[in-house]
Amino acid sequence: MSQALSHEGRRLLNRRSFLASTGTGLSAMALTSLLARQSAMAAGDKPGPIRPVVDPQAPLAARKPHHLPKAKRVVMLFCSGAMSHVDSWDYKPSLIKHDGKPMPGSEKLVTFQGAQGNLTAPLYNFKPRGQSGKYISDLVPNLAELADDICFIHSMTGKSNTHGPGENYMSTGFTLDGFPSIGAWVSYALGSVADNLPAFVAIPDPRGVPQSSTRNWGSAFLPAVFQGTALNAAQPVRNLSRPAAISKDADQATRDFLKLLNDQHLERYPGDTELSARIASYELAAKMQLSVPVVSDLSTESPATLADYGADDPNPTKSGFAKNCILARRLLEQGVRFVQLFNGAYAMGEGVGNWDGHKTLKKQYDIHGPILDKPAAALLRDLKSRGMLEDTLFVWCSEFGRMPTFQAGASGRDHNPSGFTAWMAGAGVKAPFTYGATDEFGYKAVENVATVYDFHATILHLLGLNHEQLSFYHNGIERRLTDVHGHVIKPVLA
Amino acid sequence: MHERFFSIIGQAKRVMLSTCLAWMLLSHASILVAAPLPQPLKRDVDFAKDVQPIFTEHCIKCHGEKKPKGEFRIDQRASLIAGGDSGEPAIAIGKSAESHLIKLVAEVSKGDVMPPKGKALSEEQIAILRAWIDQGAKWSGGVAGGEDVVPRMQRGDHWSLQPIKRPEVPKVKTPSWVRTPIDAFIAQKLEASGLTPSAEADRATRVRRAYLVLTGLPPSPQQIEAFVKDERPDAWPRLIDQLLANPRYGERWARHWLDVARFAETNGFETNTPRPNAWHYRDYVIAAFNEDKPYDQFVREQIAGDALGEDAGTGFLVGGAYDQVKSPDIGLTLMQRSDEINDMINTTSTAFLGLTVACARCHNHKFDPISQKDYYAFMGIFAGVNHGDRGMRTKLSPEQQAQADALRTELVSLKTQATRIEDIGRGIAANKPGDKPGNEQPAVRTIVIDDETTAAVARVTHLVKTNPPGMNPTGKQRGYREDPGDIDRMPNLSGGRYVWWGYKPSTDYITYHPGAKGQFQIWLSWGSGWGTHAADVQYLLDLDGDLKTRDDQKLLATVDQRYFAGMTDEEKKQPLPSKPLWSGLLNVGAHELNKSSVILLRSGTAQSEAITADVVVLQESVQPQTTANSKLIHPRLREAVNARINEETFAPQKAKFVRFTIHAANSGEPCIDELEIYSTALGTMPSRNVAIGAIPTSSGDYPNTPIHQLKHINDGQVGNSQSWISSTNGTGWVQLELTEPAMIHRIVWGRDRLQQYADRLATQYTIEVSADASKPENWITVSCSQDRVPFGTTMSDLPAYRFAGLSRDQANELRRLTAEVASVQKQIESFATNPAAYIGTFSQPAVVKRLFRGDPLAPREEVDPGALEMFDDDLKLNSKTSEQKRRIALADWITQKDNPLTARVMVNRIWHHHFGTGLVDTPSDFGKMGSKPTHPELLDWLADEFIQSGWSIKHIQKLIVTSATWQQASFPRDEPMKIDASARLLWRFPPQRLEAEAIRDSILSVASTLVDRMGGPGWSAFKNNDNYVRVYTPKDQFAGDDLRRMIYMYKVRMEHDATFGTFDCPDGGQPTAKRTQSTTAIQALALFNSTIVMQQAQAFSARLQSEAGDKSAAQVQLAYMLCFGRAPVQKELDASVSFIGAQGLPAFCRAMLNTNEFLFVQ
Repeated sequence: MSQALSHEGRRLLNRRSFLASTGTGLSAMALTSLLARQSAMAAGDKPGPIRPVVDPQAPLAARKPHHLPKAKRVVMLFCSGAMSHVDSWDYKPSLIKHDGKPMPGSEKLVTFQGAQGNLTAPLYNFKPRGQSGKYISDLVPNLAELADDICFIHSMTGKSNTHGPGENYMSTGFTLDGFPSIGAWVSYALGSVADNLPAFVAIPDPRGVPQSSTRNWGSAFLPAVFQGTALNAAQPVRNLSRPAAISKDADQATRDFLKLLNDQHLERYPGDTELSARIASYELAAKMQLSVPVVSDLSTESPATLADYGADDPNPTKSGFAKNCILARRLLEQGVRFVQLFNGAYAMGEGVGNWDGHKTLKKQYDIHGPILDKPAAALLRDLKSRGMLEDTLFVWCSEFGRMPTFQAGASGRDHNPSGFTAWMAGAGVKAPFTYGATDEFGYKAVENVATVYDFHATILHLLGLNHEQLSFYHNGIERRLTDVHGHVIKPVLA
Repeated sequence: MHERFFSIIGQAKRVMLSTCLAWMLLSHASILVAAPLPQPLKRDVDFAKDVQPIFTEHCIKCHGEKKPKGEFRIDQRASLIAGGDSGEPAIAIGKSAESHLIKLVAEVSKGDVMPPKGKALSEEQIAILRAWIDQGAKWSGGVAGGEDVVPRMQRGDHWSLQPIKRPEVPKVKTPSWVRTPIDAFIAQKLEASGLTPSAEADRATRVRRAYLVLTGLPPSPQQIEAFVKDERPDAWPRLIDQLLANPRYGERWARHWLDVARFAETNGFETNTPRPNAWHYRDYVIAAFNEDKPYDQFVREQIAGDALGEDAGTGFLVGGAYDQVKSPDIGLTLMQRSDEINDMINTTSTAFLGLTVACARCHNHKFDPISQKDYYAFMGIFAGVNHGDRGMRTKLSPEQQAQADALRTELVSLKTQATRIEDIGRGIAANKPGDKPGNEQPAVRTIVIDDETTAAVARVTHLVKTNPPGMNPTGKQRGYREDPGDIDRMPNLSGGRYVWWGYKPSTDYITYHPGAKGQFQIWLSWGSGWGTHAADVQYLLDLDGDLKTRDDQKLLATVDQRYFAGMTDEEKKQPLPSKPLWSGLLNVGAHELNKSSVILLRSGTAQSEAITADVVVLQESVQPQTTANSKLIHPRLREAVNARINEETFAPQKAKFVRFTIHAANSGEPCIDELEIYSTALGTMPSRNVAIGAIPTSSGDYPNTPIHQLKHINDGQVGNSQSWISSTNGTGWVQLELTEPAMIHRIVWGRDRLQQYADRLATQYTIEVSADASKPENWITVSCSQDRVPFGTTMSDLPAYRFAGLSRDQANELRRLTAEVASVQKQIESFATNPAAYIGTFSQPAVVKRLFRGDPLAPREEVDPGALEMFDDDLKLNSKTSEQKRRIALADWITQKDNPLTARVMVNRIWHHHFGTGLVDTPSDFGKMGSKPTHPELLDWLADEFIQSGWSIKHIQKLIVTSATWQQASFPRDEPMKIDASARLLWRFPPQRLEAEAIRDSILSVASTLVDRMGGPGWSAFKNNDNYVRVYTPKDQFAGDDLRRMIYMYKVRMEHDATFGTFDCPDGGQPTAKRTQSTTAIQALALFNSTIVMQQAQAFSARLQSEAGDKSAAQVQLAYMLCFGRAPVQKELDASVSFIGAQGLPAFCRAMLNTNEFLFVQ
């Protein structure tokens, strides 16, 4: 961009210097009252809430964490539809032994869709992988090879056995609608180091948005600036490019003219930061117009890389997800703080769009497995080979797991939030490592039971944030990602 | 696969069995461990010697006098009984095994243990504590703290919970600046801070500000000019009045309320499917603001509009998300329901009271004096409110009312004509040529005598002691209990029972005494269906009613009681059903009766075992006939009375007095919610309810209940809560003295028009009128229950008229009339249709119990519905109180004048939307976590003024907008910026960025594309989609209704309009009292590049060309007036003209719509 930057624009682009200049950037009174509030809250014997101080002119400027972080950024791979843990990560030999027999004590069991049939052996073969010999199934052979880099949590528990509330819970900490997503919380807390990109990007599956749609990356009552920006390899940021009928020069001229009008207006309202923040936002928008196409342009990737991820696959869903995985890496490279990468979309028929295998699980997973596996494994490997895993946290999750039994009269498994698997890799987590366990059939978490609150608390902890302190005041409550719950799962920390 | 709308009916049994598993699911963190509790010590324990040392050793450090953890003190017996923040009583006296304290010290649930760190209690210590609790938890041995009073939630000294006190308006140093009392309060604070107010903003700025804040649209150049040139001293208040009266005002201000009410038109959650009928609530809110509906009424209607004739109001209660994905899993089902009610509690308490009652769902409120019990008392209020559509009773306009009246009159006339023709066929009306339609006969008398109903007791005499009755079997076949009848057969009128006796020959069994003089057609019925019934019983008419004299007896019919009435010999060959059935009616012809005549049943001589009797019907006959007429198959009876609404029509009668006498009710003291009396339409005078204003008197009124009073009989308000109840069981009368004599022809009455109640219904009644009540003989009966089928009878809805016996012309005429009747009926119904609206349904809830940790599977003690304990207002509700009454009670409590929160919270919201920040900057939290008011006296003054004004929102707005404070310029000034940069003290008008809706509406307004149609269903910002999990893909093109105001945008929960939604638009997920205000690059992209803005820039450009001509300078002048409300300065004009020269007018328009000045109120 040849255009000289305004004062505000320069400040915006030089956001690392922001913290030093907060005192002058914010209106003095507002800052004083914020600080007063923080200290008042902190007066008790527990550490008080911390509300990040956000400069209206540079709301995405990097902010200091609460303690020294292990991870600087996060990629959260979310398998929508509830991927079966007993057919993938959580090996249960007893299931093979008791295949076709009723689960003891399950005669009266009613799960989401109703009555249960018999225990059913894993539909994919498990075998030991890597140095650690961790048993992982052939559903995900490529990811399985990376077992030594992964820290499994087998004792996850959810709060709902329906997809919408389940996804809400995994992405926002609440089963109900209307709460900020973890990515929004993280960008609110930490801002971003990406100069000309959103702090939080959500990458929907090529097949469509996930089941809870935009609320997986919404900002709810947090300021809109912290919401996830949705884009994927196939669909750019909405309204990013200039209108087709307008030439580049005309567009630039209009932008300049607008700035002229705004500057003249600002002269009459000197010091009104919201006005200058809006001027700056047009400058960031212009930079995004340049930077987002660059970051989304995969043509600069080597053919080897494209092949590694499977971006050359003739199946558009497979190559689409592969490209999304490459995009995720490129965004992280540019300093985007939080990338939420979705595998699986909304329900569009029996198990078609996502991992929701109620009726014919094997048939569906034979399709879904290959879409996920190769690109996801390539992403993890790629991050590692580039050294990025040192300070990037890779998180894999699904809204809950599935039953060890088949549903009565079907060849698929019903929802199961009583025990399921999530895993992490990279910055600050032990690997290879396994934490917690379900019972012998994989039905219920019984050892080191973990909640989604714990999971979130741990992610925040790795980012240098205290989940009990990071807060936003809304409608009478100091809201937290973890509500009033959650403990950092310390054993998984490296 | 999403199991939608999965019914749990039929699964109940299995579901109940799964409760335990579901509990495990929901409370995964606390795996139940069945460790045996140590048994209580088997000796008397002493508090001081045995118990206190344990407390001292393990508990007192955290639960002592100073900063007790969880607000729980172990050193007070009262605290032990009340428990701490968990809401769980620590001890249940006498029941140690159930006591929370014991469960915690013994770690009954793994992980829930006290003390959490350090040494656990020994088994012996637990045994001692158990014994102490079982022995009555006595506090002995001279230890203090034994008082037994459970501490109540106290209001304490928190400012917002104190009564409102209207302060004196302060005296200030610059009285000339003060325009409304508001300014005095503001000036006082400014003076104290060494600040001075800003100068008054210029007229153009002020007029733009007023338009944007009050209507959400910029003023047109003409509107600006009109005000700028208005030299009258009251030009400003005139402008404000004009704006407050503008319908655009309601559209703007309703949006603010809809944010608070988390209104959206989809269900949220995973499916997020549409609620196509939710818009009624939006229209209601818009109308409420436009009408300046008193706020207390507005509040009441949103909680209990169904009782107040404003159905749409209750859209508030169900405005939140609703999870449609159901499952047979009971744990999930209970949690979903619990979340629904929590949403209602949360929204109601934050919106009206500014209190976060929902925080007390799992434990006592951490900051405010709200207990967990309070939460469940609130839950009791809403426990019967369900999501879903309800038929909304429409309110008719006066024109529609007149139209409906005319149609009703027409219907009466048509029905009379049809009946007359039918009666020709039935042989009871003369077929006189020249008989004019509409020449109504006096009301035909009908008498139904059921041998068993209480009201008929006086008319029936059993001469032989009866056996227990024969009961018709349940079913719809001929003669069964619910037989609805058909065109040739009456429905079962018998009430489902007949009497019978052991058979003795030639014996009199029963008499029926009609007590009427005149010629009557008579129908008989009996119990049939058995071969044992008598084959030759006789029905006689005893003219003088004296059974000893037999020469006046005449045989009406000889009947074979084994068969149905009117059975042919062929039919009789079929085998008997051997069931106790009703025979149906047998027409025995018309007979002359006098007042003492009776109908007598006498056995014959044939051998049999039983003789039966059932209902008889008499109907006055106008045709002198004595023989049975086969064409006259059955009497014409009206439908049974129903609890909702009953209509009586009759030939016009002059009346000054109308009396409604009740002879019997289905239960208790009878109740009438409203008695409407309609005058006949006269010329241009429409029919109207002349009962309004009439003076009511009665036989006696149900004592001491404000909702059941005589005045409610004609107060124009329907429903149980505005009704009259008689003081006597089953009977009573009420009389209305009209303000002046009127010709009346229709009376409408009901027990509960709102359909909540069906008890206390008058089932037998007489309605009489008199033009002169002083002479009893002047009373004329205009209608009664006798020509109705008995209460409880099911009727088929077959065509009303029969054609038997008619000539071809008569039949054609009847056909024409029948069609016309149907058509008019349909038209009348169209006025009374109850459109489905998403305003919730109501059901009587089960008992509400406190839930331990908010877990629906951990119910504790029962909690009565009620308000907050700290206010000491007993709403006198309990688990038996009707659902509606609970909501009414809460609504009344919230809106009573001494509730200190309601007015304060609302005036603060009003203030907030005028200045961008409230006097309290946490508008939905007036609790301890909320902020304190910057101007507490002003807040109280406004709150009191609000109440005094009759809760007029517009009154408060006018006070604000006409204040000097609000009219200040908004320029920043160096000195005040240093002291009060955010202008909370209001040394200037704080500039504000417009909200998403106002931005869009303003763009459309200046482009002159705004479609200003009000009300009704909204337009959608998304492409059509009907996947069962809705996918919302933004539209690219907007046209037609898409260009209506944004408040009419179909509000999709959790999804935003792709362009304007980025401007901090609330998503309907949670109530939003205060929008966040963020500035993002995504907003800039949306406004600079989106198709809608480009489209509008084109339209704007076209408008400039058409209105300002081809000269760029003139175009710029107009554009500045339209967008900024001012003329450009020379520099701006030059730059603009030169830009248009280079890039064209549309590019200029695109830039204008993106400017700060356009988007800010200054």
